[in-house]
Amino acid sequence: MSLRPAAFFRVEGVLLPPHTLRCALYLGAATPGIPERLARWGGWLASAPLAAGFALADRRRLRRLAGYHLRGLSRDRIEALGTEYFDRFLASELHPGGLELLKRARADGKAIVLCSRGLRAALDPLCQELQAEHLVASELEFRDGVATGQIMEPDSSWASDWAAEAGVSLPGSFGYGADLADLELLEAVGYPCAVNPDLGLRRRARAANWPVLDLGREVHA
Amino acid sequence: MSSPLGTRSVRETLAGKRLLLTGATGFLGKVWLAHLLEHLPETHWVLLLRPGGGRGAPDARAGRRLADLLETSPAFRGLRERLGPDGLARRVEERVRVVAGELTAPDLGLSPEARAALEPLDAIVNLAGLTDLDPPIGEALDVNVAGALGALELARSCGAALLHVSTAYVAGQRQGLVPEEVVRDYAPRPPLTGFSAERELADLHALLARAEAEADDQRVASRLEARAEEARRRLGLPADAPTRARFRKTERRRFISERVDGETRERARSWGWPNVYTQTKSLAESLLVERQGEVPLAIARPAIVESSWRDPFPGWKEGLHTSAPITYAISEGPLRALPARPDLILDVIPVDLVARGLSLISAALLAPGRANGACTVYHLGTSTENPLPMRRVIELTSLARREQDGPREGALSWRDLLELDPGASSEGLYRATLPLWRRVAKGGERILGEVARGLEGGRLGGRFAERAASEARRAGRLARDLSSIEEAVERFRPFVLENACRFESARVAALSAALPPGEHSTFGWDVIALDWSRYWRKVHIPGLRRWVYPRLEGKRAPRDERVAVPLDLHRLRLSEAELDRPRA
Repeated sequence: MSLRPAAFFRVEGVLLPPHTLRCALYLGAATPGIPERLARWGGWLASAPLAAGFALADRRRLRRLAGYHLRGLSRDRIEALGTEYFDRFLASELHPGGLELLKRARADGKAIVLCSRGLRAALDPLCQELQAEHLVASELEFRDGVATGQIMEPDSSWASDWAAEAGVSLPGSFGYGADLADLELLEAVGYPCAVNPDLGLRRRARAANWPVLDLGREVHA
Repeated sequence: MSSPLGTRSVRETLAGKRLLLTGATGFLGKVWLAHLLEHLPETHWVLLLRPGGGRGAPDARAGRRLADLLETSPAFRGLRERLGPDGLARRVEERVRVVAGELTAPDLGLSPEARAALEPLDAIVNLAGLTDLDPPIGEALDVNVAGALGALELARSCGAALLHVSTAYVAGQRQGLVPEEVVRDYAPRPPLTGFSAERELADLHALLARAEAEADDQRVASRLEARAEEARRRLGLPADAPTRARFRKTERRRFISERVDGETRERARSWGWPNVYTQTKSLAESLLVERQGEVPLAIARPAIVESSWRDPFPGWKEGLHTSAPITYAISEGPLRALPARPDLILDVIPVDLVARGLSLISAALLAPGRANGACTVYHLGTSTENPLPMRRVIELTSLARREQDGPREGALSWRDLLELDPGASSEGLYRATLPLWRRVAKGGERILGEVARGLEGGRLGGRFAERAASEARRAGRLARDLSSIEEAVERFRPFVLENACRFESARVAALSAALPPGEHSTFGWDVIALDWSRYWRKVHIPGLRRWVYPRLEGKRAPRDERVAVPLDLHRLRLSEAELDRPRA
């Protein structure tokens, strides 16, 4: 069986601005029940200094904090409001340069794969809109249909696992990354490309002789 | 999944069989009839219909009722489109016969000729029933009990089997798993000396007879007659004999209702049933089993039958007696705290799944090798295979409410932050909201009314009096709306707060597993595939908004534009059916 090529797109930075915290705030803002809603807002306010610190120092912890503040919400609510959030905000924030890259990859017959550290609930509609074949995103853990507050980020080896399962050739594939966390993916594909990269990835891209695309100011790495 | 039944085709089992169907004009009846016409074109159906008004023989009038349904009911929309009006007319003429009858009359109101022309009959499916939760006891006994027993006697005399459609909630006040069985003389809370269905039936009839005798007392009758005359005059209707008789009858019925309804409701609750509907359905089950003899009997017990999932099209619903009043109060009204147990499973089943279940059960009932005198019970619900907790019902209803307001655009607003979605609440929180508002509105109506009367006639007060009177009327309307929501909450209390039971539904799943592969997509019992979130938000609540909520607001439900179906009513007559009906 011949393996087919794919194009891997990091959502944050290439297609959309980072939005996980904003998304979590949106999902939690409409908590049903007066006492529950006030408690959630209070929790946010109390953890705001911590969130500011994490935003500067460790974005992974910031995402975990965002997930923690969604505990107690139902899967139904998170999915419905995730779609609402995409339609209301993300759909209009899609970056034209990133979309153009995606359109070209599709025209070349590549399988489109989106990878994100954002919440799946808000990105499933994006996956449908862009007719992507696969989406890798952060998953909230649910118990009896209710979020526990735990957030599970994709394993670093997901690309090779998925490619083996889907019959995709990584050496024949393209990868569009935006920050240093994408290094493993970019090293795995045959045609890596850094799009509006952060400082760390920019250095590594130059050292490895990868193309670097600066698509414009509207894309925030 | 392999089945202990081996493989059994619904289509082959029912091919060439002839079944009589009562209640075909109800919500479930229409959906099932459309399903049968589409998917079982080799089965013959005799519909027992009440003759409509107008001229002509009763059978012709009953035929016109069917024609009207085929031409206007959304249930047949898909058939009208797929077969075309001519094709639908042909399909009906070939496979359906109509006979005028009355479920509550002796021999189901069939004339001797019609009765003779019925045979050979393979089965009777008794779908007819009053679905009003607390109907007048006389009507409930006539339709739900006497109708079922009449169908049994007809089945016995024709040598046919009987499929009786009951409700899963005959279980009444129960906790835990309800098995698929009939317990003779069942009552959820029986007296120490044991409950007797026959005795209860006799007691209810006696209760009714006492109220009727009281209504026929000369003094009471004359008072009722005076009231009827006053009502007639108020409406400006003519004083001819039929009109006066109609008004007298209405007043008599109202008097009897006032005398017995409260007592019969209380009586049903004291035995552990949530309402008169479930009590009379349960009595019918007990009495059917008691009197069954050699008649092969199956009892189908659907749970709360809600809007269609897929057929005739997603979201179609008729009737006000299911969850609609509660979801309306959440979706469109002020109910933000519903007293409910969040973990209680509400057993809701889309009508088209019930239709599939009835096809499966009919085939099982008529399969070769059935045992005479056996009674098999089938639950048609979701609570064991795909349970829907109340927490989720309320959540999905409130999410559907967000979505029906249309897409939200732009930056966050105060509305986003302050708008409150409803939730399951404790009794205390509920009492502190809706009933309290109702009392405040009622008090406001009284005080403003008095202010308006006080200001009337004063030199300066005229304008203020008018304003106060208008506000009093507004407060009164609000109080009445809140009161009707309170009544709906009380009616639903047993289903959402008290009875935490699940209904075993292994039998219909086994019948489905025995289907040949080609029939799964048509008759398969696939409740596991039902995605509650999608169904509730995108199908059910939007369907209720279109088809049911207008009726709750006193408006007419939409109907399809009439498409003429050129039915030859003569060909629908039972006697002529005998001339050209091939037998399998």
